[in-house]
This record gives sequence, structure tokens and C-alpha cells, in this order.
Amino acid sequence: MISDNQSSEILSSVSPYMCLPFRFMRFPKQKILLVNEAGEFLLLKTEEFEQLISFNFDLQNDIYKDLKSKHFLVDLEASLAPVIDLIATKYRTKKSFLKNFTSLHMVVVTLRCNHRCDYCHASSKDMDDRQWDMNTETSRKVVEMIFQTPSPFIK
Amino acid sequence: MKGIFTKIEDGKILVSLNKEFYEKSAVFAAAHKLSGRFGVLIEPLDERTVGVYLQPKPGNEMNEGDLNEAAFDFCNEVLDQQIRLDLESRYGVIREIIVKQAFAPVSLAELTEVLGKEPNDK
Repeated sequence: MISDNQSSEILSSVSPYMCLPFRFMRFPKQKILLVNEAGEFLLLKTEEFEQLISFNFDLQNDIYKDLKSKHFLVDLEASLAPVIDLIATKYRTKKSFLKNFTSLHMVVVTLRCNHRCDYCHASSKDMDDRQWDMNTETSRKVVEMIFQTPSPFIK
Repeated sequence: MKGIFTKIEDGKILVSLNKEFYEKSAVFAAAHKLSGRFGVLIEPLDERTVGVYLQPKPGNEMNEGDLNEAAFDFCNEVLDQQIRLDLESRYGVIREIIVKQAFAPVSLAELTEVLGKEPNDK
């Protein structure tokens, strides 16, 4: 939980609103994509982005309301703690797959392949080059390793 | 663009950046993005400026217009990288709080407060 001291320290550092953490990337046609920890996204025009980061955004603008509702910024007079609570809840939901540990295992049992895809990372071998096959002993160990996962989906 | 100057010489373009505006990590991150198409050399020019030379790789020859466009793209990229650093230094602490709070165990006191009773109470 964010403390009152932390909250007031962060809020007092900017005006008239404060940005919340986000990442951005430029797209064609003068658009900038914003994404944040809550999994929200928004496309802004370049001039809107510049207004955002220079704290000159028109507070009555609909985009400003979008930015606020999607947790890209928070009004100064608003309390920061409940906003962080909400984002943390969304973040936890988005990352909920982590609590189930690894449930998908991909096993490469051979490097022999009849394709030659340019993007392949596996350094494929000729179809009759059997030295690249996984042997029985290793295969058993792989299966044992997979069943050691705490994931409830693998029993 | 504020704090940025460019000059073409010997088929490569020099972008001079004012250290007052751009941090080393922003310059490196922006330069790395162009390293697929250009040989990139970064060196200090004087106490206040750092120079970034962009030289097209063999087979990727460019005219003056292309070089200027690449320098323009680099300038935008270094600006974006610096904005990312500024935002992170200003609000990175909030990101850490969000992640910490998201995975913090719920205390019995908090649970009791929300439920109005202890979880095992009938």
C-alpha cells in the first residue's frame, strides 16, 4: 500500500495532473501508442502526446478523460492510493497465469526436418541424420522433469 | 531540434547532441536501433557535446537525402528514449509500488476489515 507520505511527495512534484507509468511507441501517420501496467492502451496524435508530457493538456478535452479513465494520469486533487489499488488489481489479474507455474512444455525430440524455413532457430538436420534424435533415457528424464511442475494442470 | 546538430562528411552523417539534454543511455539506446543499417560510432566532441556518426553499411548506400532522413529518425528516437528515461525517473517508483502491491499477500487484518469478521468465524 502506498503511504500518505509517498503519495503527497509524488503528487506535489507535478502540476496540474500527474502521469502514471506508461510505455509509448511511435506509429505511422503521427500517432503514438501508449500502453500501461493495467493492460490499457490509447493512440494519441503527436501533439496530444506532447501536451501530455509537458503537462499542458486541456482538462476538458475528451482525450484527457480517456487518459484518466485508462490510468495514464491522475488528477492532482484525486487521492493516489485508490488508483494504485485499482491498477494493482488489474495487474494481478493480468499476471494471474504466473501462480500456476509452467504448464506448457515444448519438447524438441529431433532436429531432423524436411523443411528449410528461413526463420527456423533449430538448425534442422537431414531426414536420415538420426544422431540428432533424443534417446530414450533423455526422453524419460524430460517427462519426469515435466511432471515435477507444481502446475495443477499437469497430473 | 533543440540541442541537436547534423553534418555530412565522407558519406557518413554526424549528429551532435548536447549532453545537457541527452543522457548516455538514451543516446546508446537510440544508436542501437540503427545498428542494423548503419555502422555507429559514438564519441565525445567536447565537454558539452557528444557526436554520433552514422555510416551506411556496405550494400546499403545512401544519398544525402536518405542520410538526412536517417539523422532525423535518429534525432526523434534519441528524444523518445530521453523522454522514457525522464518518465521512468519521475514515476518509476509508482510502477514498483503497483507491482509490489499486486503480489502482496493479504493480511488477516485487511481481510477482517473487508469482510467485517475473521475468515474462520462462523
